[in-house]
Amino acid sequence: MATETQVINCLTKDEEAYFSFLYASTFPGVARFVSRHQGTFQDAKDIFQDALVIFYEKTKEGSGPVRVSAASYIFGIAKHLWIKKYNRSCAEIPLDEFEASITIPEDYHQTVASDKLLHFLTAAGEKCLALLQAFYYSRISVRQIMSLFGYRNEHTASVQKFKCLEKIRDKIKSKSLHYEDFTE
Amino acid sequence: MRTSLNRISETEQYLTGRLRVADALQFRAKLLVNPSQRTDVAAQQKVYELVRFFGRKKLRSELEEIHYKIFSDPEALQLRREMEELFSK
Repeated sequence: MATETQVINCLTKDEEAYFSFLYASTFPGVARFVSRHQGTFQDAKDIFQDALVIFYEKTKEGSGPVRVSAASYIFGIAKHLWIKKYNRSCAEIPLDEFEASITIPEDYHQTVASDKLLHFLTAAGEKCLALLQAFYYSRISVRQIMSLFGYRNEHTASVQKFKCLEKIRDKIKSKSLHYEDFTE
Repeated sequence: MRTSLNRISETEQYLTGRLRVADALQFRAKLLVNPSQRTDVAAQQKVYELVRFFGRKKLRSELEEIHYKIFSDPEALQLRREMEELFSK
């Protein structure tokens, strides 16, 4: 059961095992690609982990790989990120039809003034953040959320979710923060 | 659920395109004439962005742990050697 100090992981135990497998099997290929394009090991690690995050989000949204393997999908995302990061053209880094169709979330690389935000969310309560992450980011099932957070039924979980949303929303309003306050 | 929470729920449906067309149009019309409701919607949108931002940060830290586990595994000697070779130039 989640307490004020407990953090809910994004990856379930099964997902952790799967992502570990994906990491070990797919990272070398991405590393070779990055190395061929004059990147460093750190570049490879960053790009690869970003690709995995996007892969995670797309899978949760239901737009995970259908006709290609997870590895191909992740590699395609990594290529896109590399192109975007270093402003390379598609002539330098050819993409096949599938790779060309991959989209990167627009807000992925937005830098955020995290100190301000951290303060916000700490004020709202870590439990609220954990609950909203479980619902919206990790898309954990309501049943699991009920058991993790100790709610008696779906309705209670739902009400708590909206209460948390309202709480943080009101904090944002009360500080009259604008978009600019969140970016560096 | 109290009215304010129902509004949050409706706003969420609007923002995620799950309101029926007629309801969505009505919602948007209300926004046009109600600046405080516009502020509410914008602020709620911000909350989802914040959750995404922190979700990504949390996930990155979990992936970092996986990276560390893989690379510090004694069985990963060949992998480490390959990486050293790739990036040593």
